[in-house]
Amino acid sequence: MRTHGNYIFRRTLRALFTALGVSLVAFLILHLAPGDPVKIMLGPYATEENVKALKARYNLDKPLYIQYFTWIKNIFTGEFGTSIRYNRPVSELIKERMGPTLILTGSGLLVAVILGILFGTLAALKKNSILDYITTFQTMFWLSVPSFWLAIVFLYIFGLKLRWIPIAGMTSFSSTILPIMTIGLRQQAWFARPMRAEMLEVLSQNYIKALKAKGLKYEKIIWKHAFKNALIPIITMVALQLPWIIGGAVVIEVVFSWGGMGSLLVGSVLSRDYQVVQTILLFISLAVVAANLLADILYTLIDPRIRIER
Amino acid sequence: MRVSKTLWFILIILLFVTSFGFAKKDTVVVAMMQEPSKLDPITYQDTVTDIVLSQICDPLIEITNDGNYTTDGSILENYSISPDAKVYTFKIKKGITFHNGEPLTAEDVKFTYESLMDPKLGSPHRKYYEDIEKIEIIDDYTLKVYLKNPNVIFLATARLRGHVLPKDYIEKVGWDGYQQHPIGSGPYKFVKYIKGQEIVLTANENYWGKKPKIKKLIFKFYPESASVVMALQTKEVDYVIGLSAEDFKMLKETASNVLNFGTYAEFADHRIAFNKRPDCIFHDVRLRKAIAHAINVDEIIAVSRGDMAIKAIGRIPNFHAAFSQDVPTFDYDPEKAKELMKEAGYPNGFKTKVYVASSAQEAILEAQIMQQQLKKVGIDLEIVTLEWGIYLDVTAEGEAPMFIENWHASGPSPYSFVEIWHSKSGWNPIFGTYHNPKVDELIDEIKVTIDPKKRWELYKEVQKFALGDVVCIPLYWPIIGVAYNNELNIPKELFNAFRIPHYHINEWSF
Repeated sequence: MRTHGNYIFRRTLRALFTALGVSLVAFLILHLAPGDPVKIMLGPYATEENVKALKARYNLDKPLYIQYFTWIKNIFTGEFGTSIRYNRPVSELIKERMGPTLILTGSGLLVAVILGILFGTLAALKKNSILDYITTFQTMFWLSVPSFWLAIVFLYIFGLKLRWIPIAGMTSFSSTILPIMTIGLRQQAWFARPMRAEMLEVLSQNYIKALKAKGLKYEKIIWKHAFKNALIPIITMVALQLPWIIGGAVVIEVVFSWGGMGSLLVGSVLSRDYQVVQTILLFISLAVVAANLLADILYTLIDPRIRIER
Repeated sequence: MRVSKTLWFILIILLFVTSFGFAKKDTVVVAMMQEPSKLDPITYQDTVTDIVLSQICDPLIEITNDGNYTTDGSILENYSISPDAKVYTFKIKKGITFHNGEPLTAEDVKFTYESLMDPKLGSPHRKYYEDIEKIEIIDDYTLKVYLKNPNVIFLATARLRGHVLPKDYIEKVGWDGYQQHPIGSGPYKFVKYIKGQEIVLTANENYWGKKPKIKKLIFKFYPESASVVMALQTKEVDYVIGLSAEDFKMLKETASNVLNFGTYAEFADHRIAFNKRPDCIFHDVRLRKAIAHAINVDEIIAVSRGDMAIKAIGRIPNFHAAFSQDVPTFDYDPEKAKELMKEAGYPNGFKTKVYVASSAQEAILEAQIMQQQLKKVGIDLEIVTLEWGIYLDVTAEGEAPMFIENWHASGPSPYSFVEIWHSKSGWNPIFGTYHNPKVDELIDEIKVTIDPKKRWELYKEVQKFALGDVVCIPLYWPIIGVAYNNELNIPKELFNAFRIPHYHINEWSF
């Protein structure tokens, strides 16, 4: 007989292999892409000798497979290599950047979940009302405008014209409001629409009708029974956002001068800072795998209807 | 009783507001579009790092507004060059101290030279120092640098990239330690570096030179130009380094109520470079000439920079003594271009490519105008935009027939404008290879001609020969626009190619 424990173990093992595969692909794409980190760093007028010396310093003169295995081996000892661009350990760089990113994406996601669930539920309860139409319209709106454009427009209105909030940086509380709201408003649309659909679906179920027939209070039916059940798929959707929380909101970080993982990743890709890009990609791929795993596990735990097969 | 209480209240509020106002004036915020790679004075390659370190450290020698050397504002008391241009003697001012209180002596200068020459440290400027035979310390404040060959342009190198470093401190904390907390003898002291955000500096109260008028200096990083332009208008930022010509124009039209504006010509040029290797179509000088006649430079400048550029005649900018009016120029003449093409065996035109870096917005625009202009004479031009890293590789390997380049000469010497044409220059293959014995000879002569007047004549001569071969097509000398907080005072004389406002922040005031 298969148990939950067994299932989770097998899923975890598979997930780890997936992550390893992703790391290999990331490594190869990066190293096979044109552009040489050392030449970019030294500029167009570098001498051959300087290039060689620097390559040796960062082990870039070794064959590719040796570079890959050294990297993987070092990861298990907590060593992520040295950034060529910053000349500092990658782990240090990531430690510095992770905090700001978690604040930004974490709070953004929180705002998004609260708003999304709120709008979705209200739209479902007042189906075909003006509120429902407004929700449909606003979610379509946020999903279709690019976040880059949105960020600039927000800056223009609230920063430049109204002067309520500083333009950029992360030095004060008020400067965090705009980036978090930009993320929150866009992301809530992702949750509001499925939430509405789920809620409607649940409300049309027989057991809800039965509860109504039993004479239960309307509020109780909605919040205790329908809402709780409709929330399950949303929880897994939130879990799937995990990689993005770690990877950072690249565009938002750049526009708001937010020194997080996203802006680190962009800068590192442009300068072909292999070790940094590899490590961030590995983190993100681990997060993707972990998020999927988490979503699966949550499903089996929350919803008894899901059976484990094979 | 009540009235006086209200009065007091108002007074306190007023006091608070005004003191807050004054408190802001203690700090100047300078925006950078890029974050410094690392505060390593030996290996850095980016301008933004250079700018930060230049506030912390002092140069060995300074440059005047007209591109001459001066000891004013530098750590030197005086200097002399031997008649054969092989021995440079430097005498250092007494009483200069580093931020940690230790005196700056000849040992520190020697140490800085040796660090730049050390292959293990890997300075990208190392080859400039290869000419040094030995460095001799005469006493605590005097040293002599002996060169292997006569070299009159050595003073540009002698500046030590603008940063004289503290020997004892670096030997104690190591190079990594220095990057975490750089010190020097300059007008501002390092306080902290918040990665991805800002670098905070504070005025050096004991500065030996022009004491900073503004107490606190913050460099903030704004990777997105739209954000930085808005931050400038709300005065969240007082000054922007690297404002584009387009943003400058826009701000001048819309924000003159809160901003001041200034411009300075750069010691740089913008040009079209050719691959002249035998396997490339532009090996044939007639075809290079045809391109020169087929493009309308005035039109290119008008579209890409408007009045933020001066049309180039030769390569060396017109504010320098080595500028020459008398170099071959090629007027816009499509008919002549067609004739030349016919002569070279391409009566019906040909296909070719121009390469530009994708980050160089202006160059892309220029390539597009070129494309239209060349179409008129039957040349089918393909524009290849590549990301900077790939662009460097591809152009250096001779894959690009033509490319648009922005060249910054390490002032005040115009040497690097012409040195790339020397057969033995390391840059020669990068810019498409070029060999002309006469040009080589003239460049060699420049290096040993001590009399500046004679030297400037040689520069003029070299340009005449090389540009006669259409080694490249000079387009323009860029003018840089600076927009800054209108409460900020920046001395007029800093708006100059050799001084540059943000290299002398200690002279700014509110």
